[in-house]
Amino acid sequence: MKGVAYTARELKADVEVACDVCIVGSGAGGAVLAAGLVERGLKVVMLEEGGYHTSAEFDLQEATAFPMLYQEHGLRTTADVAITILQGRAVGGTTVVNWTTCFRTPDRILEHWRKAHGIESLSPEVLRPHFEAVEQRLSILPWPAEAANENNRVLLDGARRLGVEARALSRNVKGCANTGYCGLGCPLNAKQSMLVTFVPDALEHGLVLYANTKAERLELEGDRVVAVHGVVLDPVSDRPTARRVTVRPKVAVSAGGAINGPALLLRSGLNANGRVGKRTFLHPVVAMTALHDKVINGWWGAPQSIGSHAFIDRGPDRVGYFLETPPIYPMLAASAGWLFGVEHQEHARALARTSSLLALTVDGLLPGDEGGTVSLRADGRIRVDYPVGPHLIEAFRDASLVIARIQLAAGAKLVRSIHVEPVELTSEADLPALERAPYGALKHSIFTAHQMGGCAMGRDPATSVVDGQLRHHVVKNLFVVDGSALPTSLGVNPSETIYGLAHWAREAVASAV
Amino acid sequence: MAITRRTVLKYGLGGAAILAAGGVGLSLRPSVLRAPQRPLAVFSPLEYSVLAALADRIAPARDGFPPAAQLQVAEKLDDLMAISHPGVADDLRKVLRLMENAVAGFVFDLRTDTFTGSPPEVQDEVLRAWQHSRIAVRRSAYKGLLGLVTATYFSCPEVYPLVGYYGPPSYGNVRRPPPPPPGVPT
Repeated sequence: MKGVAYTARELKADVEVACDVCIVGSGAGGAVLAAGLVERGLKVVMLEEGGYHTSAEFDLQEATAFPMLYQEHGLRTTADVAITILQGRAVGGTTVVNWTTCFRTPDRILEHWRKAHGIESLSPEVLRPHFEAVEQRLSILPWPAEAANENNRVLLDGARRLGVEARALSRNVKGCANTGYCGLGCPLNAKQSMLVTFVPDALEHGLVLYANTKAERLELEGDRVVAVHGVVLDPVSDRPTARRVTVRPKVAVSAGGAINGPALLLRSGLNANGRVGKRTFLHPVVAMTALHDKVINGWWGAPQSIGSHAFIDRGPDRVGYFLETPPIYPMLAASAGWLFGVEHQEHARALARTSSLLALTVDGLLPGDEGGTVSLRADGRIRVDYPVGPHLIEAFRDASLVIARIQLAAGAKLVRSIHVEPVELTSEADLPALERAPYGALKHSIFTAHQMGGCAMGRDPATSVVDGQLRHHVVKNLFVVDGSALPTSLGVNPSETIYGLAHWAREAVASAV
Repeated sequence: MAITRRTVLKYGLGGAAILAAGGVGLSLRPSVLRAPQRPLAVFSPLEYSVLAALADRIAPARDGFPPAAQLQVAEKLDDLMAISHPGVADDLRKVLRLMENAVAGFVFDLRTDTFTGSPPEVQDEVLRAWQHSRIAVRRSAYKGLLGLVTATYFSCPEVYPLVGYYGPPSYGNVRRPPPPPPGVPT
């Protein structure tokens, strides 16, 4: 039986539908789960607040992509505007706009979850077949180092000259033309996002998908979800219409991702232990730019194909970090810093010769590191607060110094921080100035493209939201299958962990029907 | 009463504004309004004018860089606010009104004119004061405004050649008509 996809254009009247499983969200968690459930013959309904966009609409212009494909039309930040939050919003979720880097969950993270959060259900052995399955479906393979673009070459060459480990990353692509526009929606469907893989797989086997439909709340009776209430959004104004979609499932799944997933539970009054929205982790990113004599053209080529985990374990009481690269699109680059006017324009003029490296800090592993908090504002908006504490500040400083050394070793003639008052370096003799610079919220730019936690998995119902099977501790027919279930950050890009967890969770969710 | 940063920190924004208003007679020049190039959905004429003035300073017309007005930066931000949660536009309006407010300007920066009524060099000083403010909320507001304006300006194809960007490749598929109406069986 084939499925059907509806968008707001067809939803002219209220809809009420019963099903086995209602999944809220169509990203890395929801799509993989849906495909597995419909294969088992279950009737699955999926709600997705974003639009059902295809490559036909991906014109590779930032002015198109960010309002169309990103949360809050590209404006999502922490409440203090200190951290820019890049997160997708469309059928396919963040996988439509991520930069394709894939890692299995590190063994040490699974071991940490077992020891610190009592999660006995997950191990490398348990997850291995699930990773293998998604790697095959999504064509997750190493991207050859020789195909690295010049921006990634800066990381590879600079690291190697300093004796720092750096290596080629794996990407979920098939027939990639190296356009470099992964973050704006792949124009060739070469990126094996959920949009072109597990969502169509699920539709082929019976999924009923409602796009432009925001799940407002879960209706509860006792310890069970009895309905998921959605509102249809106008695809032009993005405002709620009067039309409603009400789903009456046997099992409900929150898969709207970190930040939106916890917000759904909060709107539903599901926060008896006060843990929903807590332990929100972001892999907070500090970045540096560098100016080269040679042309970099950092908008071209696979945006993220080289990485280094040389600094992932910096010893006890220190936050580790890993190094990767971003694409250098004009809007993304120009809006990243703190300068304005002539000075800013002169920096922008050098875009083609500018490289950039990122350090992604691994939050949530140190004792007492609770990360950030997702909550609801009085007007209904989602609020994200993230305190940047001393451990992160130390890591930002150390990482900035490491990045600067790598960029200089790679031949940069000028390295520049993204501070309120940028620090410029032309040689290692200038490193002390970078070390003395202030670090922390609103002292330099901070970014996140990896949102995790908020409905943390754990054994103890007093300190977590879902159990080791991703089932809500109290509401027995509610599962959380997305990045919000992660009890810490990962130290690697999270998409494959979410794919793997969702693939693994299919049995538990199906068994609950 | 002398209005100092210490006063502001002690009494807060509201208190300091009241103290300033009751102090020496301020020479308040009126706001300078601009006409938008098309009807606005969200911003008032004053809010639009402040935003347009800000855009002129954040992305000044010089040495080939086109005027923000030519790229309709403020109008495009009105479009963006129209599809955003109303609370986002409300927050932005508050920041724009605060930036324009001469009393607040005096309290924080000893500025006696409205932002739109100030000459460009004074407007630049105001921006720098917000950028480097010891008050985190002002730095937050600055970061937000800067991000909105620079993102809008530098996402315009007219700016691409100035930064050495040759623009995205063109694939035939982007010119295809929209996908068939969803709702039909896939």
